[in-house]
Amino acid sequence: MKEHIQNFLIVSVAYITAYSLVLGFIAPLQQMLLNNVILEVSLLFLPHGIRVLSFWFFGWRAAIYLLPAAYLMMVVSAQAGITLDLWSPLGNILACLLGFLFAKAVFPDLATKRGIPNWKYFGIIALFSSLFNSVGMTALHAHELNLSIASGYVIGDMAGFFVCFLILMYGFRFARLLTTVNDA
Amino acid sequence: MSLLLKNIAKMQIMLADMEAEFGIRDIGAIEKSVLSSVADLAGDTTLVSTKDILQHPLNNVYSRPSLFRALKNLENLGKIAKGGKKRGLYTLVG
Repeated sequence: MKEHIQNFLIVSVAYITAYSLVLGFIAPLQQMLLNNVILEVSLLFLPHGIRVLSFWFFGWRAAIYLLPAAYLMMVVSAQAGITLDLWSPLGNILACLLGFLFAKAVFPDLATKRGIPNWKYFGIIALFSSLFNSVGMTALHAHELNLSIASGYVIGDMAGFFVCFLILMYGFRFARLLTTVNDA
Repeated sequence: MSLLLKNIAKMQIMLADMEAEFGIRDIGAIEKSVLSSVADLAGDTTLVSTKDILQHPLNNVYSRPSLFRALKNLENLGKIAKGGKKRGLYTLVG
């Protein structure tokens, strides 16, 4: 039980942090620079990286860990003027779960012998999840399968996944650098 | 806690691989030393033997296992590559 609470807290904090960055920084910037893109589509959706990592680490349980934070951020988004459909957090997470299971089924041998796949494998999970997600979100928010909105979701998810991984990579690099400086 | 540490370690390994693929992975002191010795020895011939690398003055402060590990790391990072028909011969990459 303690382990589940710990996982839930880590996933929630990571998701809320990434989502807050999107709401507080990326969304206003996007509105200024690309005001023809609808508010519900973020062109740099960092939480997608967190979702992908969560599903890889915790499997289907990640859906349960992610759901409360996703609904919390839906409420926060509404406060910030971005109204999302009530089903959208659940749809996002189920789409990611589907993408994760699909990637696992299509590429079962991509994990290395150490059990740690290459980062590109996460990219494949991110892409499949994003494709399922874009279909669901376009239907929910645009009420039709609009290709430009659907591609906006895919671009946002994939860019967010990539930037999220870059942030993590540089974060760990910086942590290593600090350790080296402290040891010196 | 051990599962959490395992997951953090897995993520670190995956991100380190990503760094290596992006060509921005730092190399350690032993790796730098081994790379310098390979560069030094490669001045005479293209292929450098493991024996010469181990006996190089830059590397005589390190243990054999550390040097073999450094050679493996440099190979994984694409800084050196195995060459020639015989075993234990390395060449600089790039």
